[in-house]
Amino acid sequence: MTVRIDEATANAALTAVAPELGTAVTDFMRLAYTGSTVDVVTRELVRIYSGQQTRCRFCSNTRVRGAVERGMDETVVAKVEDFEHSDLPERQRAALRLARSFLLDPAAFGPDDLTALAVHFGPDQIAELVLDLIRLRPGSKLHIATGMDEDVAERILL
Amino acid sequence: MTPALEGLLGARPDYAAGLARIEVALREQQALDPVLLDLCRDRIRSLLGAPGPGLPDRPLRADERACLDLAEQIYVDATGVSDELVAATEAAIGHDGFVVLSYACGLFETTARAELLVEGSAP
Repeated sequence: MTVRIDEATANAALTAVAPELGTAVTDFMRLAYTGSTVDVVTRELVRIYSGQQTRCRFCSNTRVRGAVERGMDETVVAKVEDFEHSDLPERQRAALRLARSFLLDPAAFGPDDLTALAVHFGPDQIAELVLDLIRLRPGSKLHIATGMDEDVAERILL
Repeated sequence: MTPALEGLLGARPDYAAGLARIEVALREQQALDPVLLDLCRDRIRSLLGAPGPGLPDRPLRADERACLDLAEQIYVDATGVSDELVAATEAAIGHDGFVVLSYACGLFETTARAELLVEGSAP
């Protein structure tokens, strides 16, 4: 089943109890896609990977229309979980390696890893990916902890 | 946030400014005592192996213990937050405090992860 929703429910919950904080979080999400320098499919694969690692159904099941329109179909998404052994483009695998290090063992991300990442991404793009990783998991965890993740549709199209 | 992380994120200034505004809003919100937020931030940093003071060297108050119980569970696995844990947390800090803390714990974690990642990758 595919459904559409008009707002991120976790942000709505936050806004209801701490309006200025909720507004700041909503603005952060808007700024994430203002002047973006990383292609939307790569960012979406990172977002879905983060959702999978956090065990957030909402994040794992959500698809952003712009990425779908650029070819991110379910065949592509299925490669995220074992991306290292997939035929995803090296650029996308590099972004997913960053996400894996960030979410599993950030201290192990060394200078050589950064050099390898910089082959595919400029400083502004690396900043964008790291900011995405900072941004994504808190919303996922709020969604889960407040029980909003229990009745999530199989597919959510934003 | 460490200067090294600020430096890296500064390459995307508008987006980074959005994060800075969240940190200010978190500090200024009225739903939960910032002292309790700091306690949970320190605990999460400690669990990640990031620099910080860790837990205070004194007996913890009931509200502090309740917040730490939630923070630790959210850090380890948010899907393990039970109805009982939610009820205990809300009894200590209220529903609004629970919601703010649930979000804040994730932010403390990812910010600390970013700091560790940037520090480790410095030449």
